Amino acid sequence: MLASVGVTATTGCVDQSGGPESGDVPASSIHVSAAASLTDVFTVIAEKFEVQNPNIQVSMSFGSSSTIVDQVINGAPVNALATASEATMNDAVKAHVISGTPRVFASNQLAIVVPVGNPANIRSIADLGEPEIKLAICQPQVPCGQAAREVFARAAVRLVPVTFEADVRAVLAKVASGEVDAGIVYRSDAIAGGTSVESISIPDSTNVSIQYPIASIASNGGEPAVEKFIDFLLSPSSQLVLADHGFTPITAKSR
Amino acid sequence: MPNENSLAATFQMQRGSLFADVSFTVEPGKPLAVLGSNGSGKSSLLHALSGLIAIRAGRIALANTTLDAPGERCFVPPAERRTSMVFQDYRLFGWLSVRGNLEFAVRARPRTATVGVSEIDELMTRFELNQIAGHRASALSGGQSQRLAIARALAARPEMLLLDEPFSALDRRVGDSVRAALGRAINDFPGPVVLVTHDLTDAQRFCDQAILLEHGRIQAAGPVDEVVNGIESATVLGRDTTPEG
Amino acid sequence: MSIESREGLISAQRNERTADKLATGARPTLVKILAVIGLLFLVAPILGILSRVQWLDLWSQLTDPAVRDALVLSAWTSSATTVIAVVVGVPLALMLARGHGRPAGLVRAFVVLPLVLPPVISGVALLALLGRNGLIGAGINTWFGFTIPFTQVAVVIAQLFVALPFLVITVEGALRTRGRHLEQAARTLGASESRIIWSVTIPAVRTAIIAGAALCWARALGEFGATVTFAGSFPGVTQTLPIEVYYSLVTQPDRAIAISVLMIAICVVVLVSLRRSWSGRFLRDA
Repeated sequence: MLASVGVTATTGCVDQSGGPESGDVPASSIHVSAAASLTDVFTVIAEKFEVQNPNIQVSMSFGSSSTIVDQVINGAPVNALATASEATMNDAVKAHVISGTPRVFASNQLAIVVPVGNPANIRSIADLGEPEIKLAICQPQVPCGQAAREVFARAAVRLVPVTFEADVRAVLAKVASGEVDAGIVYRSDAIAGGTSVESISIPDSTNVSIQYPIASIASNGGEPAVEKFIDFLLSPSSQLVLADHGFTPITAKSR
Repeated sequence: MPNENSLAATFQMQRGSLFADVSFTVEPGKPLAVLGSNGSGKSSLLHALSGLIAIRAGRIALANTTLDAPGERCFVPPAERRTSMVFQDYRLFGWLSVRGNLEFAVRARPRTATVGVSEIDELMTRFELNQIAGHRASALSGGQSQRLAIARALAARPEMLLLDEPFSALDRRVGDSVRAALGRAINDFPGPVVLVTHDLTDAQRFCDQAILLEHGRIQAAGPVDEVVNGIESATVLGRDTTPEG
Repeated sequence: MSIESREGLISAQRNERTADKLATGARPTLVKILAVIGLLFLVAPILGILSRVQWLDLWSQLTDPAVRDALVLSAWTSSATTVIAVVVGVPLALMLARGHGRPAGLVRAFVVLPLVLPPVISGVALLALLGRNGLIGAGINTWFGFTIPFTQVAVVIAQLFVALPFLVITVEGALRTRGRHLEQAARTLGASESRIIWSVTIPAVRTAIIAGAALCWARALGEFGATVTFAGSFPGVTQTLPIEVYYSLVTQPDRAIAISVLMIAICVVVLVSLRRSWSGRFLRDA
């Protein structure tokens, strides 16, 4: 059982995670900067984490992976960084802002999203090559844009989007508004889109998988709390939450 | 007995929350001076006569034609009144030449008789504008500007001439040359003339009759010398006449 | 005597500059310090970006085909926006300048709204009206088979929505201060209302129209949020210079900075030429 020291609440929460007792860590707050596709799932996981570690406050901000890496390199006051590709994380590693080694905590695959009712009657990637179909994908500079290109290359379908959006959420917004017939987003985003979009899965043979690494930032302190958060992220309960949100959990072997 | 081309005005003006009544007639050849301190309603009175503001009650008629009569639902817009106004701040069209300003006035009323090209030349000579005919109006001196403004007002061949403090923006020496030009213009003008001024000497020089306005009300009316003498003995306008010197 | 000697003392210290300063009012030290802080806050970021410029390959960055496409697109869309803004904005300014009372105040509030509205919201509003499922956009799609988003038309519409107020407000101010009196003079001369508008009102405020058009053009050139939301982003079609900056900021920061410097230079040229027309022609025409 966990006992919190010096704070009002004593949690009655029972969890499988094997983190050290929250009482060991002095009251602190950490800021996690995460890829836009993690918006919903990280919010849920952070709430659970705070319930279990009442003396650690987690705040978060989200953006495209390349943007948040850029912000961290430019000295953003961030304690942990979670990106949607190992390539963008490597940029941070090369800039020597990461302490330790990044750890992959989930992976994700692409999916097709269409507006409710699928007005253009999309069934597969092949349909997206039709010239009259309006398609939105991420701009090529961000991971989801690169992944979309790869999927179209593998499926040997001509990629002719009408717009390159800044990040996945922007693609999702364009689809949800019905301005485009289809968009390519992560499967997790398709689920996050809820009832405002419908999703069509892309077969494994043509799909690409992207890894989500997380790392603690060297200069901004708070490492013990960040380590706790990362451990919590890799715990079975969090992995279950990730799976619920459309991510592919990392199997026990990685821990 | 009022002449058939007289201006007859009896009206109510609104000055802020204050309503006031004025009543006067102006015959051709007997210019009226409107005297009064700043804020007494002199300018509003001219604006009402020209139609730039509508009166609340009463009647303004020129040559037996009603211009503004709220009771009769009659209002003649300023462009159709044939009343030219000379403003204190000239209001020239700065992007046009001196001649262009006169031509504007000539062409302003296309369907009615206005002065022709020869008369523009005559006006330019009369107001000493020939030398600067091609200059842009925005580049003129104060005296030149006001001479042009008076010439422009006449170029529209008005039936009534309204003058709003025509010398107050000019220094004494320049003002005198404009005064001479205006004096001739007033003498030759066939219709009613109303001169708003706070300069008693100007009132006596150019006008036959005068009214004294205070807070939108006529305090005194009559022959200009009588009204001016009354003011001088009461020194009502003492503070107002001094700045002009 | 004493007065004379004091005057002598003062005139001994006096020179043109100090006299001018004293005449316009001396500025307290605290005011000076805060003013310098304010100025630095505005100038320092510009110096910051200039310090990052790779001057040697500035030209090759700016002549890159992708940048050239964005430049051409931005130049012609913001020019088209400005032409439309003048055509509809000057009449709107006229109506506002002549209106009074509560209705005019309400209209003015709506005219100014895009100035303070976050551009993204402007984009969302445009989608709600002109998008494929929008209030009007759905009808256009059904009847003409044409959708506005993701086209250059959408770029111009987004820019117009955001930049039009700059023109309207600038021209309206001039109409109120300069136009009204000259209109009154023209009216007493017997000019018809339509003649007054063409031969008096518009010439009287022409420098303000030019100034407003320049501000409108500069704002349209810099438009990002509404454009990316309503028009999307596709190279050569809807990807304007600011979008190009934002997208290349991460992968090609040198290019982003090169474009930024170009846009700063354009804006400075516009503002400096405006200042000249304001201080010069406005006064001369008075």
